[in-house]
Amino acid sequence: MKSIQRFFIASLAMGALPALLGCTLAGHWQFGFVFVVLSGGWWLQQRRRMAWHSVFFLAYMGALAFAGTLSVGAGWLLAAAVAVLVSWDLNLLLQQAGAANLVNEALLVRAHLRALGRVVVLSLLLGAAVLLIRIQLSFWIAFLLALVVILALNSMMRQVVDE
Amino acid sequence: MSRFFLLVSLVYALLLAGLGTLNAHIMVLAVPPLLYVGLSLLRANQSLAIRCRRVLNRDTVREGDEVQVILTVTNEGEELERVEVLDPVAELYPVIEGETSALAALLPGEVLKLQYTIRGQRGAISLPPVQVRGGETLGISPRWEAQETKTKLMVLPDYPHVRRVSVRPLHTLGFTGPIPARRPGSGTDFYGVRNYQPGDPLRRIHWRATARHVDVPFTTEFEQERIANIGIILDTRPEQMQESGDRALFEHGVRAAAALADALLRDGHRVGLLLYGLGTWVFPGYGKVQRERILRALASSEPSTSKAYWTLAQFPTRFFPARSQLLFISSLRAEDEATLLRLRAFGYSVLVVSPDPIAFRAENLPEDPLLHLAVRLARIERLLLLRRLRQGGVIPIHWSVSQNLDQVVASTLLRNQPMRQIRERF
Repeated sequence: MKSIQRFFIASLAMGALPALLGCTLAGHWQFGFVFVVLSGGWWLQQRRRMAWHSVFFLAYMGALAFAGTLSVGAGWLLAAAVAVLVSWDLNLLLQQAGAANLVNEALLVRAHLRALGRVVVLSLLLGAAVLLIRIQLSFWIAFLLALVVILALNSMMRQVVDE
Repeated sequence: MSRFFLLVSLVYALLLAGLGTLNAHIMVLAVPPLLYVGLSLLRANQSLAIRCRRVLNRDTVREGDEVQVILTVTNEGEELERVEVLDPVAELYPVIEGETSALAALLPGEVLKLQYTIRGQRGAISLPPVQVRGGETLGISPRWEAQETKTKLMVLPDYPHVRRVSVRPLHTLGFTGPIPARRPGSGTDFYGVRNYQPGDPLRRIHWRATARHVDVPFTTEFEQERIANIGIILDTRPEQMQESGDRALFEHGVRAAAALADALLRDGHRVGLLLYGLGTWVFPGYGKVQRERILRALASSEPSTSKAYWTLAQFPTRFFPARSQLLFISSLRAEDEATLLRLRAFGYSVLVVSPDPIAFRAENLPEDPLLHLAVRLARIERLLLLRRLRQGGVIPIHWSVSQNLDQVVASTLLRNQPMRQIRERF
């Protein structure tokens, strides 16, 4: 699990760095330090084996969403969000590995990182496509699209709950 | 909150916040968690070809004994990149050693083995199914699959040692035992003297009496000692012995029943058990096999939830032979008095072992200026009830559970013995 620990620390740094850069470039360098503090706090809670990773994850995503309202570049935010998602996932894996008996650790870690890698690449690609392809939509069409997404999520959640 | 619901809630929140502020930058942030959930669930429907087997080193143990469990999980399908195994036994019994959960990647045919030791707590249960989750790599699926293993564990109650319960029922059985039967015969205790009859052995002639009466010899008579029919009744009625929340008083009742049954069976009596409130009846019998039957019934006893047994009015006297000894274990309610006195009137010898609920509950109650007064009033009420029972011919044993049961039983029964027997003892 040492490799996972290293990946976790790297992903935390990768989360703070683009967010800090994005905020600095947008002229809000003070707010950028919120991400540094959050990364530091998250790292500390992981070292002390506390179970506050989801709180830090939600706080991080909330801070990123707020940074979005400060006209920070969306690319920086997307990169930070992907890195934070990776941190959260690896933190959970470290926590589970600490609490349970691990069997075939190398195979397990390799498969997990492969799946996580797929999520990272696809997120960056899809996020970049979303940012690059620009089409004018009226509010109501955007609203309708968002409604479709929400309904799709709803039905997916209901299906999972039913199972 | 599970990971799945956390991420879906986050996606909802980001989409709504983006729509609310008309800010595409916020909506873009929903892309990574959405893909994380989507990609995981794409593979989550894969069914698990897994077989679980749980083996215990002993399936019947005494309370407090250790049981070693070996859980094997075999992958009978394709390679599984991530499987989580969780044995919920840890929620029922304290785990002394070993792990009850595992996170693994399993190759086809590979076997995962978990070995752990639990400490038994009274009860007879089928162990819950093993929980297995897998099929996707990121571990986001909230779906756990239950794998039934059909393992049963019986934990018999641990009980204190009681040396002897000196009961004196009106009716005894035909076999030799420890109870003086109030009639002459073969025994060890002196019963009386009678005129010599031809055939009496010479060594039983009472020489002192014979010397006083010229030409009329006398023979010593001994008191017969017999076994008896004894019915133990454990009260499992709702709100009876369980009001302290943790059911500890009920557990004391179970232990007392086990200890008394053991002592009586050791003396050779014919003992039966009724769990009043549950309707469980162990037919009377003798010896070690009967002790095992009684302990098994006690192991599976739980406080009843049936309102049908709210009072003692439904007490089934047909289970107990006339004029036999009844041993009732209950913390007692005021309305029980009438039934207990009625049983006495029917000719049963009734002994009530009553764990003191007042002292027990008072220990767990928060400090209150009126508590002392309330405890005093409740204690007076209880003592009056016990006194009325004693006056009615029932022998009540007031047992504060912090005291040694053996000493309490011995001292109470000594007080209730006829003077002749007490003199003999000293």
